[in-house]
Amino acid sequence: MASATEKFVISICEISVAPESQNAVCTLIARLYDSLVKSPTAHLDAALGALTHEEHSLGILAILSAKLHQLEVVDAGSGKRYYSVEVASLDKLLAQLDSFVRAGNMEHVRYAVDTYTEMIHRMAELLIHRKEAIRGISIVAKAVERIRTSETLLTPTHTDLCHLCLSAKSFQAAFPFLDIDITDLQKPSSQAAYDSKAFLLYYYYGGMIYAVFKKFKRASYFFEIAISTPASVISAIMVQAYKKYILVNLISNSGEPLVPKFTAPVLSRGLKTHAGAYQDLYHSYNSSVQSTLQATADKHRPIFERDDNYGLVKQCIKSLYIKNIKKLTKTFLTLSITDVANRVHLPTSAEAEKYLLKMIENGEIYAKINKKDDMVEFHDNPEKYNNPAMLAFIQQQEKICVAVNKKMSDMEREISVTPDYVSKVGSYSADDDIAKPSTSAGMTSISENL
Amino acid sequence: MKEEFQEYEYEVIERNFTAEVALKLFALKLYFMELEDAKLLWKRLPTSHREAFPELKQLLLVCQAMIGQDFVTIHKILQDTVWSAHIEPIVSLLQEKVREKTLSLVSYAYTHISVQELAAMLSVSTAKLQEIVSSASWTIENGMVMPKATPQDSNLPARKEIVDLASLTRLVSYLEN
Repeated sequence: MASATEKFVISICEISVAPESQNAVCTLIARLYDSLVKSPTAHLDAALGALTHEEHSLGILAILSAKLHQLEVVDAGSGKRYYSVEVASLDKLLAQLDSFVRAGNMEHVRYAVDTYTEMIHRMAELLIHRKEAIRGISIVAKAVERIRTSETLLTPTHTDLCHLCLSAKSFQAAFPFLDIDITDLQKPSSQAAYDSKAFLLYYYYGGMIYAVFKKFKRASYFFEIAISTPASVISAIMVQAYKKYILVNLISNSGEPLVPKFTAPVLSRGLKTHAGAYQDLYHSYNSSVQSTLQATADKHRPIFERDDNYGLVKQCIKSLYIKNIKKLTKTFLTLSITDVANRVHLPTSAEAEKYLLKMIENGEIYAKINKKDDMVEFHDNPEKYNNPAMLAFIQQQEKICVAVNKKMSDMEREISVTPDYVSKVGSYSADDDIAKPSTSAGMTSISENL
Repeated sequence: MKEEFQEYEYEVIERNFTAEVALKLFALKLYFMELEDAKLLWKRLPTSHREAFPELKQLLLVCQAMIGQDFVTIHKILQDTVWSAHIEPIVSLLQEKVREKTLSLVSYAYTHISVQELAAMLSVSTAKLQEIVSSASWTIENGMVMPKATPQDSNLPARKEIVDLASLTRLVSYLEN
């Protein structure tokens, strides 16, 4: 073992003997990290063998981070990071990382959460760069599961998981995390705020994943969070999220406004410039005229293709047929299938029947097709709200509402004792005419710190 | 079968999967109606896997027909293709499942549908169709099948009023506090 790594291992083992020694270990790591990065890989591997997961997780974390750091090459011209590694070394490194995220002592690792986050991020970048993203999914999913202190806590590692899933086109591992509504952000170990890029990308990637699986309402919710995050400058991520937000809302025919209510002002001012084509599409869709929508889609096709959004635009065009068929149900009780085709400008009655069948299956309309007379009868929603399934649904929703209310009360209580809030209340109490700031204002200031 | 499916999923994620596993996984995804995921699996497959089993391409066509609700094409491909022995049982189960799903959809989406059309949708002979129709207590008149909607099965047991009352009491007491 070379002197730098040897010295590192001996120091880690000595310090770790003392109880509550994690801060001292972190200081040691900060001091010796550069020398670890410069050490030969064989020495780092030997050092790993001398440390145990239970007692020396911070030391193992530092060594694995250094190993990943060594693979990083920065292009002098563009400043871009890329990675250079041989297959055998990568296999070994992934096995070491896998073993660490599964067996490492996370109580200790939380003292150096930034290093942990950076290590996982580097691994994800490396695998995406090598087009082997699928190999990292289970490791990163485990890494998120073990580092978070509660299910509703968002960590920057969530973003890496979504990025890997998108690159690998394998999404099943992401859903257990995406389906949980986030209420807290992981606090970095340094004084810095939560990485806003990681935050925005999580909601952008999450929206994309839901859009792939045609869960458009949830996708819209994710994009909306990205758009409505308080900001002082326009972020490219927010602009791209806005473009997809418009498209998924048109597809799901949700009737959402062109610009959501809580859009950051700086973003809403720049939308016409950055997403004019999408706003045009929105207006054409709302004209309900199929030919107008098609013409707008054709006109801006190069823009949509450049943004990789043309697939969603094609789904918008199909969705307008559905919207127009739904409109017919409000006017007619029965209609011939040929009439349906003519009124919504579908080429044949067989095509209209396919749309009707799909809509009946999805519960978008309540209708029955009569092939004897070539007619369709539209009905009202047959739900009587008196069955066990409906009761179970209402109880489930009630539980969610109670949980959200409880969370809000907890947050309000937490904010009302923060020094910032207390000092603000104190400054207002001198003048009774001025209303005291509410804790919800405090929440806004916290979110502004993102 | 679900366990086997999950095991294959894991193998694919771990990158150790062979073309044979890919084929079986694709068929299982169709059986469990995970159509979007099946399409993504196709995109992930290396060319060598696609070439090893031309049936993979056939399964992709089945997947596309299932998304487009083209029942006739689904059955045509499933019947015309010679399937490898290790996925043949899954393909048979898939065909049966598609038939059940089609029948269920027809039961609440149609008041009248012609015998020929329904037989084509289910890919059965008219004699077999008559058997199916009578077992579902549907009727046939002048070459038209008149389906009856079957009540939606609920997996939930009938609730006791006392349980509902307890839950209501909890909610009211929460709102009052």
